[in-house]
Amino acid sequence: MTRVLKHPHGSRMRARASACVRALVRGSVAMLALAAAGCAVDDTSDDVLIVHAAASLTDVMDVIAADFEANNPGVDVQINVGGSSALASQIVEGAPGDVFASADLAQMGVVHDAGLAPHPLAFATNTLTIAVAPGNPRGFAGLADLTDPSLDVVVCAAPVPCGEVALAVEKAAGVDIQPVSEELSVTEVLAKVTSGQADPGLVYVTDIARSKGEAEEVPLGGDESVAIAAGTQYPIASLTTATDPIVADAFVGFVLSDSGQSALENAGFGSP
Amino acid sequence: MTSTMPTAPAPTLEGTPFAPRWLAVPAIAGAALIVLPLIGLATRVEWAQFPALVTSDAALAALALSARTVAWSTALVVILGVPLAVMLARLEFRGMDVVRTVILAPLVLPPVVGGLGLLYAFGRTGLIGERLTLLGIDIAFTTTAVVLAQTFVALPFLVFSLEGALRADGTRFEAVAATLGAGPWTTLTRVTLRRVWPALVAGTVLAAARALGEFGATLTFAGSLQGVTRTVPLEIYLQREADADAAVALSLVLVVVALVVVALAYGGATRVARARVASGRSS
Amino acid sequence: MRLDCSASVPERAVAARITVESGRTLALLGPNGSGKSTMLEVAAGLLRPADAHVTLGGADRVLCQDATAWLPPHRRPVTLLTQDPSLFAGMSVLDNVAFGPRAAGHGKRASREVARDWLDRVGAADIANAHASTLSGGQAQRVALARALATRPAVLLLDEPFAALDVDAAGHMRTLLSTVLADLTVVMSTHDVLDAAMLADDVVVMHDGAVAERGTRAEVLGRPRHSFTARLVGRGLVRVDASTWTAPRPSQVSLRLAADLPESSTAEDTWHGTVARVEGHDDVARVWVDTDAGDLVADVDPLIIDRRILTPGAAVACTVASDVETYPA
Repeated sequence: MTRVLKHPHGSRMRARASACVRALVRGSVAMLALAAAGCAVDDTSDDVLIVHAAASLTDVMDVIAADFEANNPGVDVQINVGGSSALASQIVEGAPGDVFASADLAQMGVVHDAGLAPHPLAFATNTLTIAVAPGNPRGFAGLADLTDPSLDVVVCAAPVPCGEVALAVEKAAGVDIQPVSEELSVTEVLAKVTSGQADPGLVYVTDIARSKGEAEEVPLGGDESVAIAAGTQYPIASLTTATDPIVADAFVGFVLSDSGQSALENAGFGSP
Repeated sequence: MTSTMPTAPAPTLEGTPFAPRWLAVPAIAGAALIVLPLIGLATRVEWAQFPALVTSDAALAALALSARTVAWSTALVVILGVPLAVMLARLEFRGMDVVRTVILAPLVLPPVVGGLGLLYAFGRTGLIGERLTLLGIDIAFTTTAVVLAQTFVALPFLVFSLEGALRADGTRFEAVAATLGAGPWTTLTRVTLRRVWPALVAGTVLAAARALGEFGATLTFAGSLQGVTRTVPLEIYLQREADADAAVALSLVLVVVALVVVALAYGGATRVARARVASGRSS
Repeated sequence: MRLDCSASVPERAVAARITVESGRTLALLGPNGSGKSTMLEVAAGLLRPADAHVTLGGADRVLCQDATAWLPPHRRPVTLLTQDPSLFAGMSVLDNVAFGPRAAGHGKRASREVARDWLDRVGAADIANAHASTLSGGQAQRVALARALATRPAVLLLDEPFAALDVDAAGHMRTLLSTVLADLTVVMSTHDVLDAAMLADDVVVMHDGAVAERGTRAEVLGRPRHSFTARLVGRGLVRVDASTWTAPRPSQVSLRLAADLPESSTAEDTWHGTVARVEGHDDVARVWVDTDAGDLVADVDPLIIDRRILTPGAAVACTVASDVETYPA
């Protein structure tokens, strides 16, 4: 990563922008989202902003980054996607970066505990659901149908965020699913379903949206406790290692703004 | 070579430097690139917990599964790879270069591509998989799928190593054996394979090592379930999410296995090569 | 057993037929590239030309009949000893020799007994337990011979058995072969007349992929009828008249400049010609002369002969000693 020459009036302008962003982050999300539009960072010539984003955010982060770059000429946003835990360990091990968007609180906690992400904020929610082959040929109606041991059910392995959610869901619904495979990432689960190897699998609703019709959603069913267990929060934080904390804070603010939130909503995410 | 005349010892550069001194700089850099990560890994091992970490249920299941699948896939590699190498080295037919290129392709393919290929060939909806499913054979999410994935990525290592050795060795000794009355099978086992034995051993060991390290194709094709399809590399990847110490401990086990394997394969081949050079001088 | 082998191998420009009678040793004499090895390979089954015919012991045992019949090398009671001993590395000398009997289905112990016996006969019993790769060239070729003989071949094929050996080892090998080959049917290719003279009963001379001449050793080597054969045996060859040849040795021919000869001299034993080539041979100059009746070779002492004779193109007269044999064409 290259550090670029500063604008001669940089420090003064940065101070102004910084105050603006800090206000953004500390206030309530709705109010700050309104403020965000008037808070474009204007001292950002040729800044490179590295955003570490969870794999499930891949597509939507590209959209948000493009919008952010349009609002802030001179900022080049680079998205580094990966499993949340892999990203967390990379950041803790000293990988350069400005923003971390995690798919679960635990991995954000790892970075936070390392003192690198002091102010995480929830920016989106996701919900675990059942992915089946298009048309739901086997007629699954809900989680209770997945306990048949002859089925090839795939889920995420327990330490992976989606695996933790799956376990919580099973517990809340009081069912015991015997998966044929515990995949290492939710994308693998989706791939096993879309390739016809497995049916069904437990994925996030945003994964169904990303599959472009190759997988279909079947609601989990069950009571409210299942629905609560199926939900997961996505936290985001600017990192203390950010080369330009103002730009990093501005990006976080942008994700929380109306513009960012509507992009997330289009991708199937819920608002926090 | 076959002369009885006393041969003067070949001039050697023993004791005198025969390479430019500055070569040491990139050489050391190269060595450091490989050695440092291994050292880095070793420094992160929680030695106090190490025995517990590598004997956890999950770790033992992964180790046992890896041992089992690697044994099977290595056996398959030898059973299928030796005939393949012999055919490639000894037969002349149109389009042979194409066949060889295709067979050796997994050497350079990313394993995940191999996994996708296996999926579309042997998967539920794949070329052959669909028919197998009709016959009641279903290898999806089974240990068989792991063995298949490992064999797929490891087979070219043996074929590559053995075919090269067979070509280099030529057919002279096979012709001699044939005129002495040895049939094709006797010739193959007692003459041909004996002559390329070091390459066969080295190729087999490398194939086994490749099978042991197989990750991408297994993940894509076979899945990941403790004791069934989750081999050591998959377990390491998974443990990294939850318990980095366990991942490091298992990694160290793999590093040790890798070192032993390379020492055996490389050391063995070098010893044979030295023996040949020595005997070549004396005869 | 009688071996009859004829083959046409256009890609090597070889078309020839060789036969060896049971119990005799046939020398295939010719320079490198004359097609000797090709014929041995066809006989052994290592080469399968489209046009070939190989029988053993008469027409009843066909080893190869064009594309219609084919016996692979390991089924032929024919063993080929190549000029390179090609011992199997990784085996002891004893096991190398036991290889043939083992391949024929005999047990390990019995095969080793046979091997020991043959090693003894070739005088290599003392190195039975040595590693094959530690032998000298001469030792290795002895072992290779024992290995070939241990298969009890109906016909033994020897391809330039001395070519890879130094002078001493070749001498020992020649002596050895002269004893062990006595009762066998053997075809031996060689470029050296001495091998043919010492070991063969019959000789086939090969030249440019074809048979130039064939007959008994004495007939072919002593009474050559082909200029190529005469050159191989180092003699001149001229027609005395329409039905008679003579092949004098270089020492049996004397040379003078044609100009020095009395004009009237048209003696029967004198041939006129021109010098084609001059070579040094020890302390003599060997002079090749082209005449209308053939070629002659003469050894002259360069210290006493007119130096003009030693110039290619010089017109010379050759006189052959009167005691040189003439024979029918």
